[in-house]
Amino acid sequence: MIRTVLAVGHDASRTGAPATLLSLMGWAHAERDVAIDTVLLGAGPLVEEFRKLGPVRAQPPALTFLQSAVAATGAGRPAAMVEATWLRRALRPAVEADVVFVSSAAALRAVPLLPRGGPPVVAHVHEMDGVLSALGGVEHMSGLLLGAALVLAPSPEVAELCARPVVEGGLAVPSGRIRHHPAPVTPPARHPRPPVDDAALVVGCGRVGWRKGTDLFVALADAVGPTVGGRAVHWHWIGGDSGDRSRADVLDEIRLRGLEGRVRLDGESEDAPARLAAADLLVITSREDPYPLVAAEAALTGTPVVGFRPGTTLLTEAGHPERRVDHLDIDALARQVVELLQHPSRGRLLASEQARAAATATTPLVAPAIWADIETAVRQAAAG
Amino acid sequence: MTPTPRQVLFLGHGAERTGPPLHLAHLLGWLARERAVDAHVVVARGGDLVDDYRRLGAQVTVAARGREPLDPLPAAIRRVAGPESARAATSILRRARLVRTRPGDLIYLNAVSLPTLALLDAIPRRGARLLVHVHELGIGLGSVPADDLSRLLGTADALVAASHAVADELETVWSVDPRRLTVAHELVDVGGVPRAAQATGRAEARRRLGAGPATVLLGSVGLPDWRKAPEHLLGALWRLRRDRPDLDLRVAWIGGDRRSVDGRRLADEARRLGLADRVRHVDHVEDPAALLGGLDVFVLPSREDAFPLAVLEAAAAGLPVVSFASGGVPELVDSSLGRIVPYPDVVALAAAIGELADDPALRQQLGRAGAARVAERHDVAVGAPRTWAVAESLMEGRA
Repeated sequence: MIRTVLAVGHDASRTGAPATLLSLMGWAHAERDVAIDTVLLGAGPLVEEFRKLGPVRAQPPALTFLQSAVAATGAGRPAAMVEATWLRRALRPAVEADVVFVSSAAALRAVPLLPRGGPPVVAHVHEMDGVLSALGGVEHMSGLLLGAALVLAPSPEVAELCARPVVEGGLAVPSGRIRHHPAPVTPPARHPRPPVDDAALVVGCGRVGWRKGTDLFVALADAVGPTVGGRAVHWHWIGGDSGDRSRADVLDEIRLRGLEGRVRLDGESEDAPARLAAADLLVITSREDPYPLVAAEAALTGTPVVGFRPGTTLLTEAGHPERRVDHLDIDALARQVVELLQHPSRGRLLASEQARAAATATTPLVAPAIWADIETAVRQAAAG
Repeated sequence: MTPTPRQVLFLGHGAERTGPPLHLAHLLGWLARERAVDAHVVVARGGDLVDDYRRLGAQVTVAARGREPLDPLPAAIRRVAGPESARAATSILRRARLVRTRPGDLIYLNAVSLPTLALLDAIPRRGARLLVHVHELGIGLGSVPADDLSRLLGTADALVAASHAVADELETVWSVDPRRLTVAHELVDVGGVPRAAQATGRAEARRRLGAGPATVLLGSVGLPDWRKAPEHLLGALWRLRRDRPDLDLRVAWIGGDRRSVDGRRLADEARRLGLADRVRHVDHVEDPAALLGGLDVFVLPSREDAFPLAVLEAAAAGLPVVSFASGGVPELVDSSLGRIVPYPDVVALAAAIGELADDPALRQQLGRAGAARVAERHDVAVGAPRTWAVAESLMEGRA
């Protein structure tokens, strides 16, 4: 029986892994009366939401300053030592916990700093090849997962990557320690579907940038053209900046393609479900995205979702694997967008099938299954 | 009597082997042979060309050495207090370091970017004339705050535009008076490129670039970043692999760093498209011209390029060029020496590549025409006097 969890997150932004962590820990706190103690390696707007579950230790800005000052000298090792000094202290309460839950590959750097003789570690890996490579490569990440009692994967693709040998680009986790569960999605509030009118709205969602394929969203808008079946098509991207030049780059792309009147970047939105519900279609243009929560949220508001593999697991779960588009093929995705805008009834049917699939990923349904796996892993670890 | 050398302060963002720093190397080489000039080069960051500049007789100062005790300060401030505060800190450090730099008769600002504007801001002008050489279009100019750019363009005594596309942008977007503008295309050492290619040899270059005897090797040169858009070239290759499986096509991307963010993106994109075994990223190449002889077709997939040196070098090496009709490229490339397709029509890009892949004789014909055109119009001996005439007119008070 798990009474206390030490949860470790890489930050508290309104993005996939932190939202998933909040959702799962919120469920455990409310439904299993589990005490949640959280360590956050970065800041973000969800910090206050985590505080509602229990004590939170977030990396202080002064430490971030010191760490980056040391890093800027080119001395990567001392910079890591600055963070490690704080992190070791922040992780000390782990000895009191029944399990340490590390919520992303980016947060796995905390694992070597956990106190010796602490509880078993459960890792949630949301990332795929590109991010793992940026985090130090699969060999390094595989080492961090070596002692994990359980690794949770939100999609079959991530589960397969976790099991694959390091020489083949995988993380070499024994398959018996991997469980695939869709990331828990907090069901969005109900929103009225707008009637079909003389303009169509296609949305994309996520932090503006390369990984989410905002440039491909713009290319898709260009490929689809200004109208479909006599309706003007508007393209809105919902999502904040990545903290780099990505937003300016995408605005340049919109300008170079002459799409200023059709495509716009709307920034982060607190009423994302309402925005999703108002759209005719959500497109997932990510280059890498194992299980975008927004796809499930859109489906649950009645908006159909199409896009590139691997961000469209939901299409397989809804019985339409043939709709998943391989190889970033803009033309193939554009054909689907045109088809669904020309035939709104097909879009509604697809959305209803996807909503049924997404319902199985909602927190009330999936969190108990995840929790059961975590408890089993903790029990087995205790039994040696 | 030997004329008193003119004192010219050249400001650049860096000394890496990319367009504007190489332009400066060509210009300094020509000046060393043809004019009496005391050249002082100040670059915001160092690079391979620092030694070249010195060999050409210039005094060189690298402003951001990165080894001073206070150098980490701006990066730390950026994380905590944001980019504006970091810029202020950088500015103070630069001023302290460059306060004794003498501008001489002329300041030649070689490229418009945040680092070059910061250098200009840090150095007391003391009555020197200011020549701004603009190598950038919208994406590059967009990296500079609009107010700073307007002030720079308003206070420059004269402007050199790297292409008519740049001149159009400066006139139409930034309301620059065309009488203050001179178009001088980028320069290339026409003799040096084929020499470098021959020194390596085609067989050795193709071995290093991963091409077999029957391979039609497509190549591009530069940092594989957002502006150079290697994903367009990979997209075209993916289409050709799907539609023309009879062709043995491969891509060599020459330049940049495989371990950088852009390098990893290039590799990831190739893997996603199932092209990992067909794409080779050859990084840290000291002289890309040495590898051009191994290519069959040069492809420029850029979103935007003012007048790319890479295309000049490729044409000088006798390669046919396929490019989007973006920026200043159409001022050099037409159907007599390559293929130009509308931006961002990757289908047309693939079709143009396919046409050249099918026809070795056509490739040779276009390559010969390109080499002739570059020799006629863009050799250092032809282009440098045009650029320097603007500088001399300023120093002599004629402009």
